Parts: sequence; C-alpha cells; structure tokens
Amino acid sequence: MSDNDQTLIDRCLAGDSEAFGVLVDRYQDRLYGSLVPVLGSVHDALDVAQEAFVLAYQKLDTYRGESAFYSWLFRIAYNASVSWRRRDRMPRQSLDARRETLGDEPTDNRPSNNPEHDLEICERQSMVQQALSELPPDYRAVLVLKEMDGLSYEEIATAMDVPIGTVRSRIHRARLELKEKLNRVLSREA
Amino acid sequence: MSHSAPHPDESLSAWIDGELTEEERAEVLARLEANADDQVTLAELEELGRDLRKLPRPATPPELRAGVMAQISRDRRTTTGSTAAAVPVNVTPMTRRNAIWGWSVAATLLTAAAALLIVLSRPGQWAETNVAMQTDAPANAASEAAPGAMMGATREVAELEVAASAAPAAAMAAEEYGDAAVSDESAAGAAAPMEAGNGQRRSAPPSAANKRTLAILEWRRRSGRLRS
Repeated sequence: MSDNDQTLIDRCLAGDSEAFGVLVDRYQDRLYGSLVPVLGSVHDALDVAQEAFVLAYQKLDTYRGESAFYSWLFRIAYNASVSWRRRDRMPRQSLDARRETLGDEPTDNRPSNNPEHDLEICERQSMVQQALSELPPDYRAVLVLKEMDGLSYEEIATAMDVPIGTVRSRIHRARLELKEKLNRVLSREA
Repeated sequence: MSHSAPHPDESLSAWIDGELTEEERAEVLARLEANADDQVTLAELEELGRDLRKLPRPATPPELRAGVMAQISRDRRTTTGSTAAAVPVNVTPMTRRNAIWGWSVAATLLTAAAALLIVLSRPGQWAETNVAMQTDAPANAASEAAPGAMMGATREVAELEVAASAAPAAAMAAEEYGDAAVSDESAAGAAAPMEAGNGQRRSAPPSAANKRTLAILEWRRRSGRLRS
C-alpha cells in the first residue's frame, strides 16, 4: 500500500470524508471492473461495489495497513457479493440475456483494416466471458484477481481470506475448468 | 514468498504466475522438457490468461461514486445528529448548577456547624458578644468593658473565618456561572459572622447561621445554662 493511501485513510479517520472520495476515485474502476465478471451483472456489481465502499468507510478504523488497501477492500466486496448471491439476486442467464445485462459486449475501439479479424476477436471474447460466467464464484474470483487485477497469490489470499495454498490450488483448477468450458463453447459455436 | 511445494499440476499454473522458487522452477522445467502433454497444457493455460486479460473492463458508472459519497454523508449526518441529541449542550450547565448548589449547601452547613461548636464550647465569651450585638454598641466599647471577652470573641471570629472559607469559593463559582441568587445565598453565611466579629457593619441583617446561634443562646439563657 502506498503511503498516500495511508495518508488518505488517516484523514478519513480524522473526519475528512472527502479524503475517502479520493480513495473511491482511485479504486472504483478496478473494483467495479473485477466485480462485473465475478458477479456476472453490471447492476449487481454496481450495488455490491457501493456497499463495499460504504462498509470500508465504516470499518476504516479496523484497517491495520498490514495488506494492500485494495486487497482489504476486495475482501469486503467479496464478502458482500457472497451475501448478495445468497439473496439469490443473480439468476442464471443465457448468453443473450447476459450480453444484454452486461451491456459491455467486448469491443475493440482501435481502428482496424480487418473487420473480419475484429469480429473473430469479439466472438472469442464473448465465448471467454460465457465460459467464465459458468465457473463457480470462487474460481471466477481468483481468476479475475490473478489475470485481470494482476494480484500475487499472497494478495489474493488476503483478498479472499484463504490460505495461500488454497489460492494456488484454486487458480489451477479454475484454469483447467475454464479451458474445458471454453472448448465446449467453441465446439458448440462451431 | 515462502510456501510448500505445489502439486505437480498446480506447478504449471504457479510457473505461469511466477510463484515458484528457483528449485521448483528447475523441477517444472525438467518436467516440461520430458513431457509434451505438459507443454500443450501450459500453452493452453497461458492462452487462457491472455484471453482473460484482453476482456474489456466495463466503464464505471458515475453513480457509483456519487452513491457512495451520498450514503457516507447521510451516515455522518445521522451520526452527528444522534450525538448532538445524546450529548445536548445543556448537560454541562446542569452539571455546573449541581456543583454550585453543592458548594452552597456545604458552605452553609459548615458555617452553622462551626458556629454551634464555638457557642457550645465557650458560652461565656459568646454571651459578651451577644450582649454587644444586642445593644448595637461599638466593638471598642465592648473591648473596654470586657477585654478578656473581646479577645475570646476575636479568636472565635478567626475560627469562624476559617470555617466559613468555603463560602467565598461558592460565591466565586456563582459569579463565574452568572448565578446571582446562588452567589448571594452562599456568601451570606460567611459574611454575617465576620461582620459580627469586627463590629463595623452590625446593621446588616443576621444570617441564617447567626439566627440559629441567637436562638440557641436564647434557649440556653432561659434554661439557666448561660452565665449572666
């Protein structure tokens, strides 16, 4: 965790709520961007992210600075998402319904002279998203934290409150299962 | 980072993620060189990682920050409001008022007790003083008529001053908090005996303590216990 985060946290604890706004600005894209694939819904991700930030603010005095602030924040968000799932707010969706819900159909905004190739990339990303959404939530979370957030095993262990050996095992199993599901989706599409 | 050796299959993922020790890396490398299937698996897992990293990150809706800050602001207002209600401004004045009354009652009781003690222990000397007070005579006249009694009265006044020392403190406290009624009430108990002793302001009305003293003297005189 950077010193700047700790400075902002100290200011928050001293009653400066605007300092927490800076922390929100700093981590909202990362958190929201991770929660969308974990939860499979932009709407649920928005609600859980907001709940996580507010909970983090309320629990800020319990943060000891022993881990990165984002790992601590994600743990709160992940626990909130578990509660969210228990409330059965994330029904299984078909690929079409999910595309509609996510509203973030993979796109490449870079100019290209090969639309056909771009389409292939888009389709591949859609299939990866579909396969990812079919993984168990714990597998999804570790893969997102590892591949999309770039956290180390140790940071993921902190974020998910599990031993580091569990992280290693879970990541490998998640990859194998994702590979299987992706192959299945590819064969269906073919 | 220290950790136990991963399962052989898990080692492939840990290899990709750079989470192996040098010794473990050497083992995996040897295994990959000897096993073509492991090479294929490793390539597939690495491609999966690239696919995941290419997934677009959804844009964060602006209402996220706005919602967080609004809720925090609401919580802070609620907390501040409840705190203000729980610790109202008038709590401190109530505490001060209790302190003032405490000082006032203590000073009055202390003064009365000291006066009573002196009267009971030196009935003769107080008789002289009482006579002087009743006749409204100057103090020096009483001193000429009965020098011994006046010396005793002076000593008693000094004791009364000590006994009543709490009263000025109460008066100061009352002045600080602007409670004139308390100030007057507390100061009266101490001021009256001193005036009686120095004999310069006897026209002032006697305090409650002096009234009690006079009543006791009257009772003792009537019952014959006081020397004339």
